[in-house]
Amino acid sequence: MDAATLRRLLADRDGGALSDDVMALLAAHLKQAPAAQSEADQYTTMMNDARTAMSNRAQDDLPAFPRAAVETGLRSLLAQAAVDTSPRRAVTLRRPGWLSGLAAAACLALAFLAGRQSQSLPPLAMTSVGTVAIVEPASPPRSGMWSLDAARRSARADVASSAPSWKWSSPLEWRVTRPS
Amino acid sequence: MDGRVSELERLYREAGPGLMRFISRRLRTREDAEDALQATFVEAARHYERMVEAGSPRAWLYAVARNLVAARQRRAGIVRWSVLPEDPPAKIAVDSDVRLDVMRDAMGRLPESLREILELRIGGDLSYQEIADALGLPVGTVRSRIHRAVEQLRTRLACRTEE
Repeated sequence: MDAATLRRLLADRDGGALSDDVMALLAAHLKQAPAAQSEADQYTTMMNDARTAMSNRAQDDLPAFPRAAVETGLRSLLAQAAVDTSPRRAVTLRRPGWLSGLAAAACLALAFLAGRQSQSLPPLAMTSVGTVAIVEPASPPRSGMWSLDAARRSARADVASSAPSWKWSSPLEWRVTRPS
Repeated sequence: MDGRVSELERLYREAGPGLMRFISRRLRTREDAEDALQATFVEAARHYERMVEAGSPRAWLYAVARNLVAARQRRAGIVRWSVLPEDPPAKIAVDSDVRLDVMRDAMGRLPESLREILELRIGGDLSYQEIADALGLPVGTVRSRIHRAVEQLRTRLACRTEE
């Protein structure tokens, strides 16, 4: 076993990540190999130094245990738990669910009844509306309608004549001109 | 309720020093650190059930302390990590002071992610699983970071010793 692997195993052992059988094997290896034992000693010294380097008297002086604040926190926790488990709270919590369930059931029932009702209605009467005849204009539009002068002339002619010689027919008017 | 207070007090005595070190390295003043430590235990009291349900109460406390410290750092606009303590314990002999200085220097040069995990492992005496719980990391990541930290530490110490 090389030194790096040994250090890994030692670190895992300290971190509680080795199974019992591997720990037993490691212990046996350390007993049998003096070089491994020396490496393990170096590792332990390094870790102890690191632990000591981290410690500090000023930091180790703990402030007093905050008993009053802790008790207040615990009291609020217990009070909250008492509220959560009280029967009144349970009813208060359940009531809206109850009501909304009832409302949902009523809506479903209404929808069902409406569906039944619509099934009982007679089918809509279908009637034929006959053939629609489109009335063609009496004369085609004048040519050159996109010319401004032609448009003016056409407008003047329309104003002069009592009835326009040509006009667009709309679908509403088609019904009026439907042949009888 | 008395039982819970006693349990929290026992945890305070047991994990308090490590937590205090962990917090002190991240906050500016001792007052801030004390305040954060006490706030950690008040949080523990307020969420006692959650702490008990967590696998390890110590890991849970470290996670809470870490979050509280991060919140305070954000509020104060500081990102400060680990000026390792200047004053070693008085009982340390003078000849080992140099070795400890070298160690502090080497640890101070570790990347933050490795240093934090090493501190939780050595300073907080947390297991890999507890560190994983406290930091929200997979155990495998914790293990590999510990290995890397140990190797880097060893390399730096070797370099300094040769100098």
